[in-house]
Amino acid sequence: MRIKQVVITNYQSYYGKNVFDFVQGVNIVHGANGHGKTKFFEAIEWIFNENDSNLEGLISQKSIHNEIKEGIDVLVSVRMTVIQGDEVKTIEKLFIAKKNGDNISISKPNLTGVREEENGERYQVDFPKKLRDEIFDARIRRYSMFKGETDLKVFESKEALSKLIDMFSDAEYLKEYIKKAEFFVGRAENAVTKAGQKNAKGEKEYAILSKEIDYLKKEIYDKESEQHQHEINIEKIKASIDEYENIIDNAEAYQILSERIRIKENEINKLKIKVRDCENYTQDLFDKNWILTNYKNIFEEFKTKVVNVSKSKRKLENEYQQKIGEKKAVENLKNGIIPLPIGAPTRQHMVEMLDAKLCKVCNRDAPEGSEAFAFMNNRLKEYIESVEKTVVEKKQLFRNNYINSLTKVSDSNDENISNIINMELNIAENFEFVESRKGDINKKIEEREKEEVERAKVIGGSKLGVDAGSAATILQNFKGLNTNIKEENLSLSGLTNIIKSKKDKLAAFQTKKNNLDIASVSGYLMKTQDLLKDVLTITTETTEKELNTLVVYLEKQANEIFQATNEGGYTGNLKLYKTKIGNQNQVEFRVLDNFNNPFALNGAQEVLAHTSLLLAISKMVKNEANESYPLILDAPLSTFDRNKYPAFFNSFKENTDQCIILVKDFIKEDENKKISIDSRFYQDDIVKDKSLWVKLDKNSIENQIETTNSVVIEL
Amino acid sequence: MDKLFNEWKKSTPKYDKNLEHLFISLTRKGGGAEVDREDKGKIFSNNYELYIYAFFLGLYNNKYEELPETAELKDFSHAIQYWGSTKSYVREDFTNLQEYLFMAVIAKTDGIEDDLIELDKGKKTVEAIKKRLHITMQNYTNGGLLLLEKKVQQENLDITLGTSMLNLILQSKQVIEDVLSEA
Repeated sequence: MRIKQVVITNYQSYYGKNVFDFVQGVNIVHGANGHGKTKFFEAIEWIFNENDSNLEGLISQKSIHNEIKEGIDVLVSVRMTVIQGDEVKTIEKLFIAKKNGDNISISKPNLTGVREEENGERYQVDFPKKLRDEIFDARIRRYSMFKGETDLKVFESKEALSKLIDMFSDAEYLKEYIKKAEFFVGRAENAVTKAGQKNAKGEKEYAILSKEIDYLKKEIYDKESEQHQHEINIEKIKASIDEYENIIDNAEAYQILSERIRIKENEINKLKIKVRDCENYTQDLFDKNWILTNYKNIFEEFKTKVVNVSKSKRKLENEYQQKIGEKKAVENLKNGIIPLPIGAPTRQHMVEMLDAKLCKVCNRDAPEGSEAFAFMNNRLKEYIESVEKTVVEKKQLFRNNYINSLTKVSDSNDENISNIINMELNIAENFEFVESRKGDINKKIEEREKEEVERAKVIGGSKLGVDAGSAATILQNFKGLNTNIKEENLSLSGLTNIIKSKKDKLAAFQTKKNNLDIASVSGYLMKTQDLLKDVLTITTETTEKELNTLVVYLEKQANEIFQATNEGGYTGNLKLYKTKIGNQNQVEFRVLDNFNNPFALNGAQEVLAHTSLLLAISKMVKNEANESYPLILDAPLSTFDRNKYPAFFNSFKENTDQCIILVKDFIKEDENKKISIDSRFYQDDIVKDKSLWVKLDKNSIENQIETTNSVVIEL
Repeated sequence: MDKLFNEWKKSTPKYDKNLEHLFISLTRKGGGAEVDREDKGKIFSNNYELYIYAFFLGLYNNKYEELPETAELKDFSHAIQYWGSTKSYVREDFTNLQEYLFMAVIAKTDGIEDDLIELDKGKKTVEAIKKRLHITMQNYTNGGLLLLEKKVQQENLDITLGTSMLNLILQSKQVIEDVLSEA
């Protein structure tokens, strides 16, 4: 079957009549997001849909606005014309929408089919649904139309794949014979039993034997059903275990990331504590004396005051002494200068200067007999007198020494004042330190956030979408599943043994009965029974064998295509496993490495693996059914590197007769938001037999749905 | 030796009862962990912290506000000599500030020089000197408290900002320099 034309009228964004002509080979439909690419895909799906809902939503908004509201009836239709064999077949689904007061009334969707035979005779078919299925069987369509990459995962359903393969198995028709053979074998057995009963000498013994056999058969059937149930359970548990293993792999990554986040968190907290310690600004006014930051001038004021008051006190003292006639003091006074206190310079210093006959204060000679020498000598004597002879009789103006204590306070704080000068600098440094640590904190927070994003990805990557909090639950479930599967396996092996022993018993009974039959039933009846049994065996085994051949063929084809599209890179092997659960065949699709371990594919590789199998199926369909079907894919390239495009398109060219690929990847937008097709598309390495472009026309205004109109342009 | 400082610090200065609300709202007196302070918006650990702060704030801003004669005076029964002696694992001892308070009140008490001479002569008592010094201290503190009240009530000073109190002190430097340049 090949799609020749699709005509979409007033459907969704397609206003009026829009014609898509397709050719054999690779057809590419370009379209930017929101320009009608997916609507085209959905239009085709709609033809094949049985259940219609929300028909009003399918009507072109522009036609509602332009026609229906104006009272003009609108036809909504999707029509597909295909070439199949020697015939041209057209199938169309349509409905009429008309104004009904403020509402829109919609006719029941109608399907019509037209068949045009080789000789040109054209007629409308009586059963359009039948024509529709003839065009595109649902089972094939399932493997022909894919919306996005996730759709491609249909292969994960084992039964669907086996059904498809069954459909094309040469031995498919034999399946009918299996049922017939089973029926006739049963009839033959009954006939033999009846004949045996009539003729048997030991009638009673024969009857018991027959009953035993029937009973055993029933028992075996029951046990086999039970066994089948266990097999299904095991299969289900295995699938869950696989999922959990996936999660647990992630769990390891999760734990590593969590540990890193924890370390970052610690570092952040340590920094925060450091910052907090430096941010006790009010407290540090006291504890670190920051409050003294402006104190320097006050201290200077205090110092000056104390020096002055101390000086005044000494002056007063001197004046007083003078007044009371301390002549020595008067003599010693020159030009009204206040003398140094007694004892300055010290006694040792005075002795030293007298010995050296030199005044070490003014650095001048003071030879013995000179005025200077005599002055120094007198000062020393005065001092010795003042300390050694207690001059109790001496009268004093000042009784207290509080002023002196102030001088002490002043002197002892002199050094500290340099710290106060630096105080402002210290505060500034503290602020700088805090700022820089805050910077560090923000950096660490950013780093932590990155790790958290990574961790979120790990969680998101697990299929169950569990969050980290339930890690313990996961482990518990995982353990539980492992226990369950052990139990199931135990029950299964128990059942298998029971079935085997029952079958042995049955075989023994049957031999016994056969012997009785041979003796008592006519030869031809026995031979007929044996012949029918053989027919049953042959039919069953042939069907099985044929299916196996197909699976092997499909696997080989898929791998060839897969390797070709992945030239140069190692991507593992595609494997198809055929298993049998009860009487139901299953085909499982896996990608394994050379050691038969599951091979982890990236997004693009996974798409390629799936398309390879898809193309192999398409090829198988063509071989087996002598007919090829088009593949229609919507936006499959999003995970692809650009350098993979040529191989991807080429694999379709080589392995299908017709495909329609809807892509947005070659649309580029310039700075004025004007869109065009990228020149890369026109390069020779990208295979295309026809390319179309769906885009909103120039009258379509963003966010005004009633103006939307997708048009088709042939490139 | 007769140490004026030792005598002075045994006393307890007072403040205007009308400004008591500042002590109630800004200080955390009584028990409770040090870390609670910020949560309660109480930024000073003790009454005397606010007292010291207000004194320096008044001093640096040249706010010498005489207490009204009718003012009812209050104190918090905690002599200066104990101020700042609360060393703990979160706090440092700052008793050294007592000396700076003392030096400042000496520096800022006009004409104290004559009184000191009289004191050494024995004609005035330590008590009389202390009284004069306390007036200086109380008036600057009063000035500081009024300034703080104005900042909080009229200028919407956000006291929950950790830097609010420090900034007021740092900004005072400008005031001092202005005053000096005027002189």
